[in-house]
Amino acid sequence: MLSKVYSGSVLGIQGYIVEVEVDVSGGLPDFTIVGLPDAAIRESRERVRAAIRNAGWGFPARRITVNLAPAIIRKAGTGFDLALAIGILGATGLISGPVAGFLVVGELALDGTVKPATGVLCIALAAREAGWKKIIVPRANWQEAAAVDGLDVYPVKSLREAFDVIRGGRAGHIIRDGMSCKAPSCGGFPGLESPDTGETPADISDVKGQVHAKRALEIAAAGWHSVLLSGPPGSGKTMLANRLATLLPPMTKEESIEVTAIYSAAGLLADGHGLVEHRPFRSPHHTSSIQGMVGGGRLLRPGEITLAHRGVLFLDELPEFRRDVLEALRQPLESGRVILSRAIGAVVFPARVLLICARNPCPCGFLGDARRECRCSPRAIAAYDGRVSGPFLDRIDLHAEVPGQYNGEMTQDMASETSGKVFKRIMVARAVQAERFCGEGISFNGEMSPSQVKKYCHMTDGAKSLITRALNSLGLSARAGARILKVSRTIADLAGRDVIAEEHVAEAISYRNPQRQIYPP
Amino acid sequence: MALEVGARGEEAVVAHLESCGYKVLCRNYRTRRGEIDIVALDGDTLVFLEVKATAAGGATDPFERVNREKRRRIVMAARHYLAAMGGAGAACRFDAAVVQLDRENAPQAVTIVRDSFSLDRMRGAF
Repeated sequence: MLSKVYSGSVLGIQGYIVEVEVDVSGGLPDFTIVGLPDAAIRESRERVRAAIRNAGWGFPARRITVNLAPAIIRKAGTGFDLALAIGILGATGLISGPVAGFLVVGELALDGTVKPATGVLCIALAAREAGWKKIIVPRANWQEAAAVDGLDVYPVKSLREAFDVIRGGRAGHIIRDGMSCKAPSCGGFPGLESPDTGETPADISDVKGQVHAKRALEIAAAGWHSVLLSGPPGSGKTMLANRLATLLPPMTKEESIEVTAIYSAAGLLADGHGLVEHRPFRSPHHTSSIQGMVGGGRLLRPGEITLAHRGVLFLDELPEFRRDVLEALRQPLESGRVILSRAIGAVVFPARVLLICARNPCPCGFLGDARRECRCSPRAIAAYDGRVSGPFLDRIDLHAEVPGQYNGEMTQDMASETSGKVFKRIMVARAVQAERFCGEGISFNGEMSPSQVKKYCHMTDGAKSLITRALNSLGLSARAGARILKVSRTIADLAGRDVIAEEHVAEAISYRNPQRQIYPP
Repeated sequence: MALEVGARGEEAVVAHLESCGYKVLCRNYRTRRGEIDIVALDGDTLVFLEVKATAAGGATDPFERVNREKRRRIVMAARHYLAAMGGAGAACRFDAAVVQLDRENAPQAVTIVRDSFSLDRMRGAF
């Protein structure tokens, strides 16, 4: 007998529906799976066999052939176990009537319990897209599936429960349209130093002084502009970068679903975790490989730039990163996505990150410092500068100096602004942008396309002539010019102004610092 | 002596099978590539049985002696049987029967292990 069950899998972060056809016929007992299964799926035969036996049914001593369609995509992972088991029960006549109508996802343990699967949210999104109404998921993953509106979610914890749901017996509890979804609180987010988990929450006022750098972070957070902090060791670059997360506006539900889908597909979501609510903050080590940063590998896993989507990608010690790694980031930073083409197909990973980098001004770290002498030779400084390519630096909107702090300044400036105060200003600028970009498909000034720059960056005559003079005298590229305009737009928004004035452009230009002009020769 | 013990063991298995409602079709089916101790019918399922005797206090697990090569020979013989009898589409099963012997090598008890193996665990054997 033949039975058909539908399940799903993930390619990159895109879910797709898989038809699991099971044929049980006479002949010498055998169990084969076709349709490009990987090793984990071929091993699922042993799990399915044991699970069916231990759930109290006999495993049929028949010739069983399973086909996973579409047969052209190489399937990976363990999420088909439950669908396979249901298909076999169906094909041996234990489930009468169609099992269609349900999408079934889950990994089986030998005792017949259902274990969590990866990519449940991605599969649920694909299911809704394809017009499915009902989905059976492992209990540990129900919150992910419930985040998708318009799907009835049936959480199960064993093969027996899934069987009952399909046969229409005990239905367990159904979650309709996420109604009984009690907005799960979000803790233990991987890689995020969440502001509300620490004993004393991180706050921008923890860093004394550094008004210039803090202003740069404020502009960055308000308009989604990339930042480079450079300064001597111990001046607070890393502390500042870590506190950028406290300034970011919260994610919308759509953004939250995008981010959660990435973590779900990568298997980085804790069991029982619902939507990710905090923006990610990723701080990869400078020895990271290209694959680790942009994604790839045999299973096409997302890289750090994708894991930081809608959040912060912090590259500490920028010149220590491998040059080819930084070059590989250039194109995704510009386009906001990574396209990986492999033999098994092309996948697109979203990569809209807020890039923040930190570096020392020279190998010893004290070039231009007020108190300490730099001991580097001009040649060593040039070599250090050369480690990060011009095109990469050209993509950074805000170059901010973080000078060394000495006792006097630190005690004088004890009353720093708190994150909350800065955040309020940012939210005002954010609201202005939300109104401006309504229907444009972007949400921040930093994401504007050239035509949008033309449309929204109205300037006074003074501002226009200033930017023309600046481009000529500083020898900046056209891209740098466009970036200055976007930053000016954000500065004007923070000031509550509709038209960009000379002072806004001037401030934006002050953050373009390709040659170190602040330092005395 | 050994042959005789084997025959007595098989005798005991056949008696046990018949008491369980199996219909024994053939004993000691031999081909050039393999052999089957007993072929029986359980309802509409064709059962190929391998009989193993274990001596009183015997140390080795009888199933260890149904190794990969032995299974391969059973499968080859089963295919031959199906082809010869024209039963290619019949439902089939590989069972194992273990005969417990006492000190005088007389059969004491018979255990049937249903569906003891299937082809998917023997990839590369053919």
